Amino acid sequence: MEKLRQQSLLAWAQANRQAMHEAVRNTSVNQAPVAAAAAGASGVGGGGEGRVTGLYEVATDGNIYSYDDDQSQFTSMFPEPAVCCDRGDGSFYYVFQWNSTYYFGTFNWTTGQLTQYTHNLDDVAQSGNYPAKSLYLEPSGNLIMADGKGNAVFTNIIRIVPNAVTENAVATVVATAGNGNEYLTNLFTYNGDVWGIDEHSTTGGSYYNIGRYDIDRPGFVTGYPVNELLVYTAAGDQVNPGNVSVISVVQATDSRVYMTAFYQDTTVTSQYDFGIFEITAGNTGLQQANFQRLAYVNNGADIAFSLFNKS
Amino acid sequence: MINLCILCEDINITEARKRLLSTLPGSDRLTDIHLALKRARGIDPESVANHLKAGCSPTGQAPATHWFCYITVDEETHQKMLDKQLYTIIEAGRVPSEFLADHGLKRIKANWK
Repeated sequence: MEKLRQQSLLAWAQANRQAMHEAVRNTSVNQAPVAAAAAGASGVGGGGEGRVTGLYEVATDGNIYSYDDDQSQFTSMFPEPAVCCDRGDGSFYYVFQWNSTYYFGTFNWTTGQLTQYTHNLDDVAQSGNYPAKSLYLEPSGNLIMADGKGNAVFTNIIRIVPNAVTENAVATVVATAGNGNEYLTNLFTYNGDVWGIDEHSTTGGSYYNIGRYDIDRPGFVTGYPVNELLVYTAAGDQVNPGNVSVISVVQATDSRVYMTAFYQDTTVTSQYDFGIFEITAGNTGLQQANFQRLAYVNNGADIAFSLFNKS
Repeated sequence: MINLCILCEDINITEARKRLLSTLPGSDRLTDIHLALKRARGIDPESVANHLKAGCSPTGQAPATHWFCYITVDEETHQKMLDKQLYTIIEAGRVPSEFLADHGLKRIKANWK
């Protein structure tokens, strides 16, 4: 029965994909990457539709790798988990920590040049065991970062205003999310709107909610649906919500939404795995995460930990 | 919510980390899946080495003479940390760079080029 429901939802999503494409093309904000994909543009490694790229958390050789059809390799080194977002000009912004200190700047896909900006992130973002977990571009060209990965209870939502000329960035806290039972795990943009995922802890276990998110008054936007995020394995079985840890979420260049998650498939082997899922929309918005593939690359030696789109 | 600057001298870092571990915010939030994720990433959830990791020194060059972290906690956790702390300086509501400057310290930074 559950599989039938999933197949029905998948059919709905496929039927509506073209409509979603059109809607995205007609959305004026922050859609340069989508337009490029729709025009058939390709970037490093070829591919095309559905371009989404992942970073290894820490590759065994110290390199980072793109995660696309070709699994092509970067030439530079990122020392710890990074969050990134595409600038639409052949480079991306990155934020990572090394020994609890933040590094922010740009990375050029073609030249491999890593540019470090001067910034004040260390004065506003949690350090220690709390690297950033989300990064997205606002239509203005500023960035929004969410800190507090790991076991932080609160998430600081931080606006970063970069200046490409001076290679300087000024960061300020927009708001702090979290109330002990609800924990903001991800922020991302979906068709021009900001969406968030909250983890809810209850005595019966934890689960995730997903919906449009207000970063200024942290919480889901009043008046819009909030869905429980349902995660499905390759076999179509629902994963117990308490056996999922959402890591990274991004809308790819073809408007599809992808997620990396650490999960336990108790219906098969009970083994833990890192997987990449596509989050499809139902009548009330994003809701169902369907397994796409394991997030292992480099012959299983590394994990595509953070996802970002690439025009 | 309270933002805390926490600082410890290098000679006391092991003991300070042990004390910090028992009062860390969110440690009771970690379910099996979160703990498994940490282990899968090569992080021992029980290890004290994960905390107070930002090395500092008067010159900003290695080796670290002090260790620092900056976290956001609730009042209850803040009080618990104050009660438990022995080798750390914990100050609330400070800007990290100003806090470190007041102690004559700079972060030790890498240059990734």
